[in-house]
Amino acid sequence: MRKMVVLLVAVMMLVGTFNVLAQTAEIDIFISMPEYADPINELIDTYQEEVNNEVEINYETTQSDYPTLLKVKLNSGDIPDLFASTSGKEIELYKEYSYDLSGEPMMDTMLPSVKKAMADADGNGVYGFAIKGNYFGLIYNKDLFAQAGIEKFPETISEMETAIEKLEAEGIRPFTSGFSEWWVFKHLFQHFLVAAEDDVQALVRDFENGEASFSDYPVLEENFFHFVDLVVEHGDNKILESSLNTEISQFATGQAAMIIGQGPWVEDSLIQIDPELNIGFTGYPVSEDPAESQVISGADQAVRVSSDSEDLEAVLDFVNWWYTSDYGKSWFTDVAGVVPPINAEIPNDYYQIIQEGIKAAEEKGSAPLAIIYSTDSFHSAFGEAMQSYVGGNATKAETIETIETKWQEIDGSN
Amino acid sequence: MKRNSRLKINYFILEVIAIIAAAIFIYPVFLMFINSFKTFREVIIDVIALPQQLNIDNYFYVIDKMNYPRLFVNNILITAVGITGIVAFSSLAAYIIDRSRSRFTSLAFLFIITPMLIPFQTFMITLLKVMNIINLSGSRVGLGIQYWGFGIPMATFIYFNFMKTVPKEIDESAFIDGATTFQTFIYVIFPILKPVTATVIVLDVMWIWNDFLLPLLMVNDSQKTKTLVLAAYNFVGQYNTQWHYAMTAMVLAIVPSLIFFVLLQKYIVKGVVAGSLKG
Repeated sequence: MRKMVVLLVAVMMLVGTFNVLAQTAEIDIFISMPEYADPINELIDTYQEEVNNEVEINYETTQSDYPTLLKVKLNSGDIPDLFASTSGKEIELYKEYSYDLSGEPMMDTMLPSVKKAMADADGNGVYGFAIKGNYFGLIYNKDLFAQAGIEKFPETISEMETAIEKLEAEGIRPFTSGFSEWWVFKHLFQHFLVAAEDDVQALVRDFENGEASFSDYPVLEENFFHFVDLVVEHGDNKILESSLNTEISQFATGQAAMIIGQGPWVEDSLIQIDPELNIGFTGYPVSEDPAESQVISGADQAVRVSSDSEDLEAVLDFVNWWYTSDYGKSWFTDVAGVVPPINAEIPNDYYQIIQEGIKAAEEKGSAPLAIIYSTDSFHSAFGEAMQSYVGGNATKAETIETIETKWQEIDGSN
Repeated sequence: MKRNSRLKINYFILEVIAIIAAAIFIYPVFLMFINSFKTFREVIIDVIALPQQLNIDNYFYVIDKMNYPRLFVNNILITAVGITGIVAFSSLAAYIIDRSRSRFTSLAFLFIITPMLIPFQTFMITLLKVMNIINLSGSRVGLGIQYWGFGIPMATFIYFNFMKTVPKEIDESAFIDGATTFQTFIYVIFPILKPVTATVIVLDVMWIWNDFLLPLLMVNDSQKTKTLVLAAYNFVGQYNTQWHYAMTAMVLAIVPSLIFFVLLQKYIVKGVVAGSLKG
């Protein structure tokens, strides 16, 4: 018996030494968004083949429970070298664990809008980088609009009302909404929020402190709710049962002309259902001023470099290579198929939504990404409040009051 | 005669209720199963419709994509290590606790079974921290060993209740024949415990095989250690989910444990009844 114990202890010590001896640089990546697992694995393989085969890269991904899991890891001292959060407000949350990338070579290629999304609350530093940029706007079916005889996509709310009439006269349902998803509301709302004030970050902060209210901004109090009413009235039959999947199936099968609250990420699904789909993408009509109907662009996700990383040099080499090497730069479009977060050429036969987004941004400019300045805890409360409004369980006044209180309670400093 | 027919009607009503309840419970599983044969287009357009044709392309894609054979081996290893430890330690513990009753053993019993009441989330962080220190995180055997801690309370409880019904005379006759305590346990008692062992194995295999949060915490780091359920979740994205692949992966992940359950379920009933009859 004693022999066995001695043997066991000896084996355990041996295993321990072995672990200490293995001294190659190791990069632990733990990020959400498993839909990019294949491209990221390809990126890692290329890096190990072409640049550095000494470094060991462990890539771990999950979507469900990601924030919980990340907090568990951070709190138990098992800090991944690269981890993810949303950009904007959440940058502050993990700032103490994040390395400031502002002195790194990757700054040369990173888009200014991405850098801005990675800054802390005071607007300093770059505490992360993006795997993808993004566009937000209104997706519509060009063929259905042509069929209804609408030549120019509506840029104002009254033009939208006329367009709705024309579509319905042709027997086409104008909208499919996805209103059962809480995040659809935040995607929609931000277009009105950026129209309300130029400095949207300051406006959000005012709302958090209770210094701003909907009644100061007709575009929020009137136009936003009016637009939601239009979608409810001219949209899906069971409006609160409409999910992202409903939107995809309704739109791709030509049963609805416009999708609310989505962006480039739905194109793959749409094209899988109907490869011939002629997709348009533009800003929402938010007022009577056509200039305010803009697409929104920016990076909503941030990948952070752990400042306590044991192999910080190796990690930085890897991420700089990602953003500055020829392969890395072309990876965003050629391998991952995303909106590049860097200055990069877009291939001519690229995703329709992204191409349309770029075109719209060139013609009319793009608005800043407003959702990143609030947390998803607030946004899900916001989504719930809007769902009660859409379902007829709360009046407009009650809904506005709920939103204003939640904003202060959840995201405010008090 | 009259009474008999009334009884029959009552049974009939109960049977109908049972069938309806069974249908309600099986329906989501059924949906998962039929959707695994559909294309993405079919899933999105009508989730409850039957597949237009029996399309097994999803299975080929998913088996290749999630590296099924390798993950299957991982699952087997984790489950086997977990089950072996749980059965070995709990049956021994229950035996000793029942046979040498003292204040100390009843206290020990209390200590063993109370962890059943502690929610996992409350010590998740500490657990990961400790496992990192003793190198049990990120390893399949390590995860299996952790299941000992989570499985032993319930298993000991079940074994103990059964052990009370095993007459002490059996031990005594073994002692008279010259067996040591350990020999008595191995050759005499453990075979008697077979139905309970089967129950414990079935319950714990279902749980360990399909567990999500603990493996996510411990072995999600690398393809080499991942489990099937974890890999299935990789088809679920931030906005988009590849439903047809996710459903296929889930079917592939849970079917082995379902087969196992069906094969062993007759023992489960035996074990539960055996334990409960004499308290």
